[in-house]
Amino acid sequence: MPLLMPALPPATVEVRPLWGEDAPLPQGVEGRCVEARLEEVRRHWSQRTEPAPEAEELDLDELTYAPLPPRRSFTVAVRYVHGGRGTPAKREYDLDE
Amino acid sequence: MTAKPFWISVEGPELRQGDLLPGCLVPLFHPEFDAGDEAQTTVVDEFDLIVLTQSCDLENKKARVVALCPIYSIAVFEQGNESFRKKGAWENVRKGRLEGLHLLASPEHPENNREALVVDLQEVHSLPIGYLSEHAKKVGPRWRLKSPYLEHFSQSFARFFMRVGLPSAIPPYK
Repeated sequence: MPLLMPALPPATVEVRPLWGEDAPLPQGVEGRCVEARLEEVRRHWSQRTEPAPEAEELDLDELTYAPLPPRRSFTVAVRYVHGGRGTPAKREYDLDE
Repeated sequence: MTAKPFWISVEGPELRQGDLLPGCLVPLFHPEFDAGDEAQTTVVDEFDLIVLTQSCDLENKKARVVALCPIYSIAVFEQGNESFRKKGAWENVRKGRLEGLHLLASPEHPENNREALVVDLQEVHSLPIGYLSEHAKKVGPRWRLKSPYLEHFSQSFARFFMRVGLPSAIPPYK
């Protein structure tokens, strides 16, 4: 089977949630302590991350394209013979009257 | 959503709309082309092409020449058109917002949108049916677009050529 291009990795990546984000925490003093530590972790991570650059808003008018060059190009020597004026192809005229 | 295959594998000289023919040779006329006794140098380009001529016209031998358009992987297309690397570019093509281009799922990995193929509807080549049938035999197994993806592709070509430019437009809504 002709292969047109090599496989590329998928466009999306799965993002895993933080441990504890979706898990029920124990109640009481220990639970509040764990919750406080989780909050500290979240604050620490958000302070360390840099704001992602805003995606460039794509203007459709800017999305122009040029035809691509051929896969390969070569020259051949030929002799063209004039075959006369082209004649119409045979078309069946089939119209119910 | 499970991606279903857009293509089936076929072989043989019988051509149908939606046949993907790799490595087709397209001769170009020199600007001073003329018939005569002397040999001339002609440039021949090679493209992967997809058949546009309707299957009924091919089956009933009504077509002396076959209309085809070039087809590329999106990675190759991006190499020649850097603006398509921008975020959102291919999503706009997928939604049909760029009439000159039509996306088709990868024959082998339809679930991977980075392996999709793109047809350039602006560039139409006409090649003799005899040459293409022989070429199809030599190619061996080839991909053929399945219904309804085939009709969707054909409609995309029709939409591109039925555009009408208006001298005056209603002002855009803001």
